[in-house]
Amino acid sequence: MPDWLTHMGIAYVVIWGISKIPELNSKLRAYFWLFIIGMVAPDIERFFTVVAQVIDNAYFTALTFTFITVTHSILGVAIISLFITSFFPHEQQRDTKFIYLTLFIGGLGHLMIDLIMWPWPGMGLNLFYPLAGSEFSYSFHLVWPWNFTPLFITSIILLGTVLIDAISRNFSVFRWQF
Amino acid sequence: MELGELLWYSNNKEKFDIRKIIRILFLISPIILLGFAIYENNLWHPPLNPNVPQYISINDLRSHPEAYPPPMKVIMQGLVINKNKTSNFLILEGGTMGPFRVNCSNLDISFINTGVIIYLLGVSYFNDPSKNYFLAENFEIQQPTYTTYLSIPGALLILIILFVGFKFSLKDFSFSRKTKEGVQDA
Repeated sequence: MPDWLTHMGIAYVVIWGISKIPELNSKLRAYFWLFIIGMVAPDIERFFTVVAQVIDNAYFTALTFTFITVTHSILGVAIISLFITSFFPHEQQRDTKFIYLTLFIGGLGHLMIDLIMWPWPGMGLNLFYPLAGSEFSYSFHLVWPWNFTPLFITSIILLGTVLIDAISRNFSVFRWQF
Repeated sequence: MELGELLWYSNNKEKFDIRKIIRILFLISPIILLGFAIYENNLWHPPLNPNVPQYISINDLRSHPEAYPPPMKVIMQGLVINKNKTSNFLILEGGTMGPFRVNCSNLDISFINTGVIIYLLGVSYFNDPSKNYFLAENFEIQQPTYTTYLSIPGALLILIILFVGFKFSLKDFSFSRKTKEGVQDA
């Protein structure tokens, strides 16, 4: 699956685009950074992957792969978004809902990006887990997980946004003007 | 505690407790995912649609060969432990059930070395005792993946966002906005 940098880069490009639309920028600015967090949230299992590599236990490694399947589903995104929302207990009730919604939409964006992986039919993400199995795997079948093309394309687009901001002297996401 | 604050707590005690309980429930919600993962890890179910290639483990295929009869396409991943150049056979690690034989007669496997992990697409003949092999139609060698290492700077950026963009309270392990300006906008 693409690394966190790729997911964050794409999330940045999305919020950069939103920041250029004044009406949306004023309404959604408060959730920009949460969207980036949501965009990497389903990969929270990577901590388990690292632990599995360190302890080198076959059962734990197999469990990690299954955990990846579960977290990379709509149900998984919904639950992980709840988990992250629990770290923001002091917000207003309405705002808490928006925080959850932002994290959830970010998580769905993550799944959309991960759908480019696995070129063979029968492989992909079990978006509708617990409906498990190859019959419920979805993918655009474009690249293998170790392919650097997504990171490369994201880097170029990201560089483009930075150049546009530098030429217009307005880094709208950060509100830097010079 | 100020009198006003005390009054607020006494008037909203029920609401306050519910928020705390809900927060605890949200915090432990990933246990549901872990439960699903443990359940799924020990579960095998027969394929529902034989027209779709089945992505399964070597163990599942060896344990239930009758569920994957030819010409059903099967995909699996395995570690190459041996290669027979004359018969064009690959031997994959088969766990407790012995070596896993892969017939690659239609493929060029000259650049597959032992010790690599490969993805195989093909047809299983393990339900046929006279053959007892997996006929590969396509393969892909798993390349070293750097996603975990590339995710380290990503994880650092997330920590920077959390601890710079938000106010962290060690008291209840929570984050909150540094300014309410944006929230009012929303």
